[in-house]
Amino acid sequence: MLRLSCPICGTRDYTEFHYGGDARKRRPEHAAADLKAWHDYVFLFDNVKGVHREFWQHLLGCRQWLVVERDTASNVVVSTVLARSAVGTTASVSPGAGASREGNT
Amino acid sequence: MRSPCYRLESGGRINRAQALEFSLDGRMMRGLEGDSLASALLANGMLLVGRSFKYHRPRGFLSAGAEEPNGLFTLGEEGRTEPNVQGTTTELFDGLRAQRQNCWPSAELDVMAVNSWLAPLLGAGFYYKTFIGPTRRSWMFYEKFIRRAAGLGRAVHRRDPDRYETRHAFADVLVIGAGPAGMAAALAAGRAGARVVLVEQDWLLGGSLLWEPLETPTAAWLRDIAVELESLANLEILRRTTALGVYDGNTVALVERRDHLRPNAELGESRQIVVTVRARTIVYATGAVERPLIFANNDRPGVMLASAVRCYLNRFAVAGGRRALVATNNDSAYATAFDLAQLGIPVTIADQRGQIEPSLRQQTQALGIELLAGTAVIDVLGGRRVKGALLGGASEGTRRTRRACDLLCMSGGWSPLVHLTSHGGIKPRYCPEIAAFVPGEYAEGHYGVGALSGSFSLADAVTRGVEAGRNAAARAGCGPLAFTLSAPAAQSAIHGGGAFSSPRGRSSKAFVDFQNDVTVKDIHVAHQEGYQSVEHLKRYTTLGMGTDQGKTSNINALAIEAHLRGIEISAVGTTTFRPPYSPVSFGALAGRNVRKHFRPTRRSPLHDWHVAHGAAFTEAGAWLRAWWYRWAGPTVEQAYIEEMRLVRGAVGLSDASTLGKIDIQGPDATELLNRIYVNSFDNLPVGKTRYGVMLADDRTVFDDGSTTRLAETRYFMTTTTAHAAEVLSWMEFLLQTAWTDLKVHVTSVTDVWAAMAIAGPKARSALELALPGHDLSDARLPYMGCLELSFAGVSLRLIRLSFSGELAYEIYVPADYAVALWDHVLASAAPLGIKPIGLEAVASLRIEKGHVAGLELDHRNTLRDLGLGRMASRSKAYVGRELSQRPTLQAEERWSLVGIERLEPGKPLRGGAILFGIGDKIEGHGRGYITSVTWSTVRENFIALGLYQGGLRHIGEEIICAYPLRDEQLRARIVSPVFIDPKGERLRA
Amino acid sequence: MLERSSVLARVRSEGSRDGTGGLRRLRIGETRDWNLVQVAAFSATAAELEDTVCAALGVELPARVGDAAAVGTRLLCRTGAEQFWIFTRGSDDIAAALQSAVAPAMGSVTALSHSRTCIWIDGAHSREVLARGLSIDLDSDAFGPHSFALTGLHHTPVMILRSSATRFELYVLRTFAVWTWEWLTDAALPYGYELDWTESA
Ligand SMILES: [Zn+2]
Repeated sequence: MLRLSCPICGTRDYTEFHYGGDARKRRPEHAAADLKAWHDYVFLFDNVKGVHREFWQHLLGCRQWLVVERDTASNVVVSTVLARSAVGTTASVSPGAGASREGNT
Repeated sequence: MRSPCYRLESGGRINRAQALEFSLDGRMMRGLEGDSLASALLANGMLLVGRSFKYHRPRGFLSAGAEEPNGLFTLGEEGRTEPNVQGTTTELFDGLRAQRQNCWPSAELDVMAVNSWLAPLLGAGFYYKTFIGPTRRSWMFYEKFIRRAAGLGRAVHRRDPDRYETRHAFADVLVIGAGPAGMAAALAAGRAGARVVLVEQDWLLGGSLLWEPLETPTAAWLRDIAVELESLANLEILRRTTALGVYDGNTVALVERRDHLRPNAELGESRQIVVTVRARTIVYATGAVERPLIFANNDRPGVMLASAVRCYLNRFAVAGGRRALVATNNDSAYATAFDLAQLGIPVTIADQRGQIEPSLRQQTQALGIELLAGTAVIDVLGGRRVKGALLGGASEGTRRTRRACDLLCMSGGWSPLVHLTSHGGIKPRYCPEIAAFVPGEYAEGHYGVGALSGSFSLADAVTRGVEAGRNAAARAGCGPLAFTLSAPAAQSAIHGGGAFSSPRGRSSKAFVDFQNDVTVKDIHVAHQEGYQSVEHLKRYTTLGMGTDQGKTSNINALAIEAHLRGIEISAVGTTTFRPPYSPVSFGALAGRNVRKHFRPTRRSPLHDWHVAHGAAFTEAGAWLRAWWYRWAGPTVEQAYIEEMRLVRGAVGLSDASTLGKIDIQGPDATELLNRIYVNSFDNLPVGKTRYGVMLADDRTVFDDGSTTRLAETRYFMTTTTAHAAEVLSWMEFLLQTAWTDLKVHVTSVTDVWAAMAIAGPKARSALELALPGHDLSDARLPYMGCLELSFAGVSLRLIRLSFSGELAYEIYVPADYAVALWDHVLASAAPLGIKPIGLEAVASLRIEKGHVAGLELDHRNTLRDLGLGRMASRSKAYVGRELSQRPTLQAEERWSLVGIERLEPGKPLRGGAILFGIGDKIEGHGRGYITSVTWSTVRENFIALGLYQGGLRHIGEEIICAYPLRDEQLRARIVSPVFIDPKGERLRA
Repeated sequence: MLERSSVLARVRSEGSRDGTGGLRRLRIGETRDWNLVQVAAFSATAAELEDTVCAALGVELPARVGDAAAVGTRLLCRTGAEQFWIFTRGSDDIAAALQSAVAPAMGSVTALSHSRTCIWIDGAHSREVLARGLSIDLDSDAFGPHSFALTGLHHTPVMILRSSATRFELYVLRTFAVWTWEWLTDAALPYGYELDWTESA
């Protein structure tokens, strides 16, 4: 079972969370009158194999939205940060020695 | 005829003082405490335990453990019936009832054995060939026969009266398997202070040490270490517990069986418990299983794995025969030969190898065992039981001899059980020295010890077990620890690996997979027909697909395939191992998530009142909602119309507590509303309410509701019942991922406030009776106004808005006071005839008023489609605006909201009916459909809301409403969706 | 004149149950007459809000999410980096006081008293019963007295607070309280339980 480490609440089963889509995409500015930008944001997705950035909300916990870097091939979670602090950053770490399958450290 | 198997006078890890009664196919038998079902049957002389899957060949036990392919039984009766239970892993208990499977009328006389004659038809790819080949027509004919003949066991359709449970657990170190290596690891980790969970599928600890005779140093060592393990408070031992699978996040699923406790469901006791362990580290000590040798008729009852014979002998004090032949290609089977000989059973060893270790040779001589080196079994004599064997030299063309025997012990080497490590992402690696797969590279925090690692020495198992336990504990932050444990001096030092020995020829009676009746010939056929990759081979022959998941067959099949392809086994590879490791019942997986605990039920604060006052209930998502009340009629059809009349004519009270309620606070609260609602909230004064609609990013209408400005920076939003959770999450998403500069908090207060709607021309009078002393005049509380007031010390929110089109108010009250206030309103307004009304009437009143709701807000329609286009602000951006501008969404011919009135009395309008124009051919998707239907008390007719191509441009036109499911058609007319009071005079009264 | 009622009023009539061996190893009941208020800051105003709350209540706030600090009959729980839940007893309702102390630009104050029902379970086996549904580690090293967690129990959100070595309080959403109650008493069946309404007057 996928386990995610909420920066607020600690490591919990994925069943406490709700998947919320691709976090690599930047939402267009609210007032942007750019049909193409909105179209691409809403409808076009990459099907990433490897480390992907995803939004998850800790629905049964603190209700914070998180940005999770997860390897879609191995389900290894590389990092988990609050979305509030992650938005705008694009840093992506490749899974290496630091990536563990650990449950509850 | 005397049975070859029998109980010994002494020995064994059984309690001779405690006899247990059980039955097989209705025949009463006796076993002893400590017996498995298998050992008890053998002790009763029962050699024949079932018929094989395809050919209905007679079969006996092959093994004594979880790898058993043959000895499957149906246990229990009626609702408790459980098919495909391995007799070898079933602990005997008093009153156990077992039935042999796959045989009719009995195992001894099986009519279906006729399948043996059909054998040429039932070979590899049989199912595929019959399905897709030219014989497909004959499948129709044969299907019934084959379905009856094939299949393992049978499920019952009755409810299982037993209880099952699930629980969550956490461990620093999870040790899977309590053989010598696992026990050593658990002890070391436990001594280091780690929280250890030790899992053992058996009811005894010890693993392969249980096969050793009693009164040996090994047995003493086992007793000591078991006592020490028990003494550690931080170590939990789970016996009778199987690790089913290893999953992401170091999560391991276990199933614990408690049949031995005779659980009583009435007392809440569970028969099986699925435990989900989240482990910091995992030590795999899953051991290895012995492989069969492949020769003709190697499936005859009386042919057993050598280690199983030894297990029955020493653990259960059951001798498998009176004259034994031990066929082997490795050293490990010698232990079985020695133990048999020591009991005075005549033994012949046929060892395929020419070179035998001198010490073994000496021991065989000392015990009077006949040793035939360079000799292999070619065929087995006897039908329903072994009578002898045909032996020959290891190479073809040598002279053949016969040996009489009633027990044939075979050992084709040992295969580590790499199932669980494979689940855990550790790829198996082929190890040619032992001709088997061992786990490859372990991820951090994962350790493998004992026979699993391909080393079969007891000393190694203990040393490496201690090391792994210590390392695992250290990784979990426990220790360091100075601890050593020495292994007992044991006979098991002669454990050997054993290479693969290639079978001769392509016998159609030399079985590779016993459970699925796959023979050497089948593999040859599959190979010839091009199914050469392991995954193809598996699916074409069904090899390894049974409940035993090919534990005994895997390597032998791969070796044959490698031989045919002329490549190494390592190049053939292995199929993917998937959970569960061994079969698990659906009951255990479901746990207590059954019946009323199946899915969450949400109840309004007024729920108990509704129950006590004759409400019927309906499910709306998780909610149980008051549907209609018995005061209004005996059925929903009659009651909701009566309730509608009450609202149109006087006043009704309904429970609106299920509405989503969100508290919005912060300097940017107005900005948030402006962004998510299509309409503007800029100029909403404090104390006023506004109806709002929000879109999803993709421009579809997402939700609607009313939002009240309580203070300059504070709003109270309501959402539809259905979308309450989504709307909150959506606002949180936008605020936390995109609009992080907005200073605003959103908090669900759905459960804080109960809500009731009071509606009807007498609503104000009713409220004035209920809340005396408060000015509720139209001037003080106009349409879309809000009043916060205190009544009897309780803060209430009164919002004047209408769903039904009548003069109406919503009253919000802190949930604990809901029942009291509801009672008070009903009592004080009783002179006006107020009564409770249910969801059906409320939903019908809104149809008359032309309000869209859940059935219209189906995540497909645009604002324009729902006739709400004018709500959208032109002066500000809002979520979904840009994509709303796409040209196709502006098309006049889009399906949009219309009212529909029935033209043919006597026929019903139905929700979901497909709409056609007059003259259209009645087929396909038509020009639209009906979303909501009700009887209208105002029109005295059936009316509906629906979506129709071109919408209200067709007003006044006749249409056809088709309902193909009932073959109904009726004429109707497109009308305005607002059926009453189009100017809104009633609600502004 | 308006009487408060418990969502568990209906189950009051249910009897206690004997478990295995005829024993009642647990006590289960509802605690009433408490208040809950949520106070939250905006990220830039976190320190300011903490100072204000400290001053208003005269206490130190717990530093770690998941920790609760008891001050008299008040219990302060840090539920997020900038969010607190404060429980008080009886007439000690501090929502209004906090509302006036916390300016809208500093943060928000939301009264949540009516949103939850408090079900408690006490006994040496209470942890085992809860582990049948809660997927967090209840070991006393990881989750000692005055620890709390926001998590899920049988598909619904719950705040669990450990009030002593053997006693846990479940603050469940009011509308799910009966569902949770039915689950909890069913899970407790084999242990046997005594229903105790002394705290629910
Ligand atoms: Zn969290």
